[in-house]
Amino acid sequence: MIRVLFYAIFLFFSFLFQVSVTWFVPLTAITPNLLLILVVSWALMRGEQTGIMLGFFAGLAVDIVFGDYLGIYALIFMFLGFVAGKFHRIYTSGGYVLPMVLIPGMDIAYGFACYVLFFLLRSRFAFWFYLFHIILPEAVFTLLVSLPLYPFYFFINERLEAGELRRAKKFV
Amino acid sequence: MSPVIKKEGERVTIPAKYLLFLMSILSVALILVTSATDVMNSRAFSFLESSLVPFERGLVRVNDWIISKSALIGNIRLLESENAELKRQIEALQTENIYLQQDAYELSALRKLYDLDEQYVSFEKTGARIIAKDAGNWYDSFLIDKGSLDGIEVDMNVIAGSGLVGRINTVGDDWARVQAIIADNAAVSGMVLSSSDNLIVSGSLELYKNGKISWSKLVDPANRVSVGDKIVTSNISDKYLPGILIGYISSVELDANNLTKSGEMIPAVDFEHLGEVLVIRTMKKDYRSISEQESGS
Repeated sequence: MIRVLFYAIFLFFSFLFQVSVTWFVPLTAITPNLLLILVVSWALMRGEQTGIMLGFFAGLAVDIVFGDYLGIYALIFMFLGFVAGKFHRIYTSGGYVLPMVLIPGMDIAYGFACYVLFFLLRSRFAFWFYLFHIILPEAVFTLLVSLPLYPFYFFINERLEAGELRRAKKFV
Repeated sequence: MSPVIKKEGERVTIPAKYLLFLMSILSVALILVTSATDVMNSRAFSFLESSLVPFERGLVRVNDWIISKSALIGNIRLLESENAELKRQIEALQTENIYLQQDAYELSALRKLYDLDEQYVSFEKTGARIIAKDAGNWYDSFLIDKGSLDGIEVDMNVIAGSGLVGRINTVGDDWARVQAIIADNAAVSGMVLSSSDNLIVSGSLELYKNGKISWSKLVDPANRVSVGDKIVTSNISDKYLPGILIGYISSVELDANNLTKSGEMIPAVDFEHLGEVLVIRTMKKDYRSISEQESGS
């Protein structure tokens, strides 16, 4: 239960900071994708189920505030969370190489999904333009932000797991 | 025991692929329901977003406070020299103002010629502050801190300075979402001021990297439209009030069909430095009845 509470708090603040950057940067500037960092990080540390649920609610938050209808971002984030969760099995060491490759990788996949669903379907074919001006800059910014953010999430996860272990032992 | 749901010690878990399947169906159902019905704009829905707004407003306050303090400490001497400079500017502006007042008489006469005597300057407006931007980098929409409690309604026009910013898309109690005209999925019915020819202004993510948006579907066989002409909102738009400045034409090209023209234009509003906007509280549907009343009386 404590874990769910933490997820809710992280989700809330990720979303809040992602949309409230208007007072640092112009309205049209490229901004890092904090929600994606949240979903991919926890999916990697906890597995597919966490990735799916966290992705669903992160996407739903975007849908509620900025979508014209509900569910499309939920679907995108959910699948990204699921795929990131697949890497949980090979991620045992707690190193930083895999997450730092996976997070920008997933952000590029997210950008690609957005391009196909929102732009290609409206016959905007300049894929290379969108790749170099939207998708890749966003991935770079996201990577830069995840450099300090991921270790923070990792630390919280270790604490939560230690707490869960302690409580489980108490019941034996 | 179900083959799908497994018990893992105390906890009941569902394998990831079934969970993904279930949640996907839920998402698709949500997409279908919300795109087919008008649930998104209902009052019951808006409380979800309203829960976020106080926090965003708090962040804006903190930001304002930081800016005001840092400005106060650093710049007293700068302010003194700026003050002297501004006094000189006031004198210059006062003389300029006299000339402009003379021009205004001429302008009002010309406006009557263009049937634009109902200028948007006279509309009732509400100021609002931008508190959040779109969560992605693909579309340009943003939230403002006024909502239905302040009398804001869907489809009200939003301006800043002297140009069109966009229109209200969704409204909550104390917030509203504005779709900007530069957004890739936005389109405005416009009109060239000099020739009253209609055209469509559409936002473009690609062109906006150079500060431009696109326009199209202009029928101009007499070649009266040229670079630098003003584009304003048209009379035939059902959402936008007529005569609001959108921008200036920066290029004109003949389409492949040899009938219509299209090109690029520079928006009048500086979207890079947008902090406050004005919401025009007169709606297009009411505006029509006002002008009819006036012509009737």
